[in-house]
Amino acid sequence: MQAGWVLRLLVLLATVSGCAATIVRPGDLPVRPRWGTTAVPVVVALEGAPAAMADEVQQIVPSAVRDTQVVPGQPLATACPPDGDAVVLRPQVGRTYFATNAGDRNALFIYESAIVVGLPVTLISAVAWPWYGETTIEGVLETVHCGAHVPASVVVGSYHLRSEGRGFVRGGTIKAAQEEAAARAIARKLLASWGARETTEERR
Amino acid sequence: MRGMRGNKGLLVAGTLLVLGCGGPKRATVPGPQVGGQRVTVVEFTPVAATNYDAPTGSLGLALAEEIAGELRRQGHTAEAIPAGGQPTGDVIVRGQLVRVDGGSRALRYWVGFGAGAAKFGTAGDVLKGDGTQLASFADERRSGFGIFGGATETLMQKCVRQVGRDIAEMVHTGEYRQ
Repeated sequence: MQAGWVLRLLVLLATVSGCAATIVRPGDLPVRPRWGTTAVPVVVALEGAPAAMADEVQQIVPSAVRDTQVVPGQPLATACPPDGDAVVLRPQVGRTYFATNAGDRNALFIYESAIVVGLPVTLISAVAWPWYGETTIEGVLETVHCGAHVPASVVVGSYHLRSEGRGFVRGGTIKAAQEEAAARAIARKLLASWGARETTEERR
Repeated sequence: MRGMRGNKGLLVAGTLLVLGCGGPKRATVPGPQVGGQRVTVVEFTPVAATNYDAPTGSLGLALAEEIAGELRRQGHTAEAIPAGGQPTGDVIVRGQLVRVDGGSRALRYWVGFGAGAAKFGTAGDVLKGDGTQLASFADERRSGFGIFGGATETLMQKCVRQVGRDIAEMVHTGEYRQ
């Protein structure tokens, strides 16, 4: 009788706390692009970007000077240095969409754990029924070539991240891990797209 | 005896959960296949009026990503872009959400048999890169089963995923539901 209660408690604790090992694997993200444009100084305005995105941009463009003057909504050209020789980048995150089955799974586990006969169902389901989490994120990268007298160019893109696994996990844990990873992924994708576009235009 | 009855109930609930989203059967019209061409899926534009409490602004983008992801799994070169992006593919898939209905959890729990189901419907076109129409399609899915009636958001997510797979299948096979 007591063993049943202990087992129930253990399973409930595992469900509520979640103990899945890895949510996002490194292979789920696109490869970090190599920064080829080194001839011109780069200024990045990161005030509108989440911390993970800002960190990722700084890792991709380590030589970039971080600008703190441009606030979201202001023209990007205000970050241009006085001598006018620089490229200013402003990456931002747009809408995000998150979907997971963790809530349904955990509701079933909690219900099953509440009845002793359901304990095996909980344990089998935790292994046989995988959890998943999906995040879709939209990103915008504005760039301006200082002194070129052309309007800022805008690259928009989106990234879809899906993770799967087995065991106990909370929906909030999946969401937090995926949001961070998705912000890094969209930063990589936007900078890679912009880099490819710049290379094409330089060749012309 | 009570335990056995409970287990039967769980088996039925589990089977219904696994079945996921259902949808009406629609006639298909043959259209072109897109083998070997780059496909760009543009974010689906949202519907004006919905019966759904959660924000719907990102559902169209999620659907576009689902279609592109499924096409990639089937061996195509496909990418999804937000509405503000410039489509660059040889084939462009675009459309709008025509129905976003969260249904009623209370009806799903107390009445069942499809009452209060969440519904998600779309309509759209497959175009050449120059804008020439190749085919048009429509699809709708509904989901009415979940634990304790099923959370509306979870059911809607299932439907978005299923509609995404349906549209990808249409583009892949060239058989478009109208």
